[in-house]
Amino acid sequence: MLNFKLDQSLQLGGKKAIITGASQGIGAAMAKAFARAGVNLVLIARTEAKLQELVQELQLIYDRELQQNGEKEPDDYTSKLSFFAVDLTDEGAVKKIFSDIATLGGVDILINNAGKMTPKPLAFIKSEDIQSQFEINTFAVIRCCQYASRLMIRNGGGSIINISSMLGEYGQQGQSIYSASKAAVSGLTRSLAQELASYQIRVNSIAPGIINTPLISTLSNAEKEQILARIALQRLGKPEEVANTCLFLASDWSSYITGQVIDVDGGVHF
Amino acid sequence: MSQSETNNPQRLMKVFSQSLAISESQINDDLEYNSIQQWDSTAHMALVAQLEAEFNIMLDIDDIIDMSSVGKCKEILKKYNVEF
Repeated sequence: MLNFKLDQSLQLGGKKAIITGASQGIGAAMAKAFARAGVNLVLIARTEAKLQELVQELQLIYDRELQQNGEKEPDDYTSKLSFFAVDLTDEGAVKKIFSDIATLGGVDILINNAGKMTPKPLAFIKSEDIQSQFEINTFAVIRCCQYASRLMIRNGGGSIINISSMLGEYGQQGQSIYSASKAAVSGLTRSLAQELASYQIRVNSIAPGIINTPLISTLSNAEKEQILARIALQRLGKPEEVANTCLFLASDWSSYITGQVIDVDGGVHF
Repeated sequence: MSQSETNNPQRLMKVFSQSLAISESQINDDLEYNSIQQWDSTAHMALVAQLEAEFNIMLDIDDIIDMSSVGKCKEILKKYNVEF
């Protein structure tokens, strides 16, 4: 966890960030890290109940931040915190969310974190397995980038952070479709960085390694052991370690970094 | 026609002029995408962003692709209840 002074020196206070897949794991860790940095948040996930739980935790973080600044707690948090329980594969719903965000003053930071992993050997992969993983891991990312970039242009720039995966860089047996969908995100990141640079929009990607999240439960023990043996730091990553990298990429500390895929994987070697 | 509708042609002219960095005298319904150096794909995106901000709308991707001229832009904006 970053300390309070460091959070403030990021100078992200008052910025607005959208985080997809925010309700648990890496997304929830990002939401907490950004709240501590004083960022106003728009959280997107499928499950409303989980989002509401997170929102309560975030309100406590905001309260603590305000107390430390000697400010009064707000009567309501609508300007600091909003959430949408939607499926990002629903194009109409995504457009509606961004229309609503536009009326709230736009967005400075987009974190495309929502993801889906369905491990299967090649012979057992159905068309719907391909479609469902690409829909959320790749196509939804493209759509969110399309809408968010237009809002960022209005505001004079921004930072887009796409959460890719170590598997998109190195691959893994039984993970061909997930790996392909995440590799596509890396290509998207590098190309959009070129295309959006003239609007002062930076686009980067984080490729987490094995992070201790619910998504990891879908991997077999054999797969986990196989990967752990290749991690220099010999442990799983923490969601907060990805969130910290995200803070860096969102802030002006990374103002000359765009089009990069940053591995947060404890030193994976193949 | 309301006051804001009366102003819409002028508001549109201003958006085109600012986002393409051209003078208002160059703007007419026949001006087409890629027909001048200033209206390239980069400027098109800035144009879309400014149109959305000015008229408080969110355009569909198909409409962004179809926006091939100033005249066509007016037609598309009518779908979003922006009258001329």
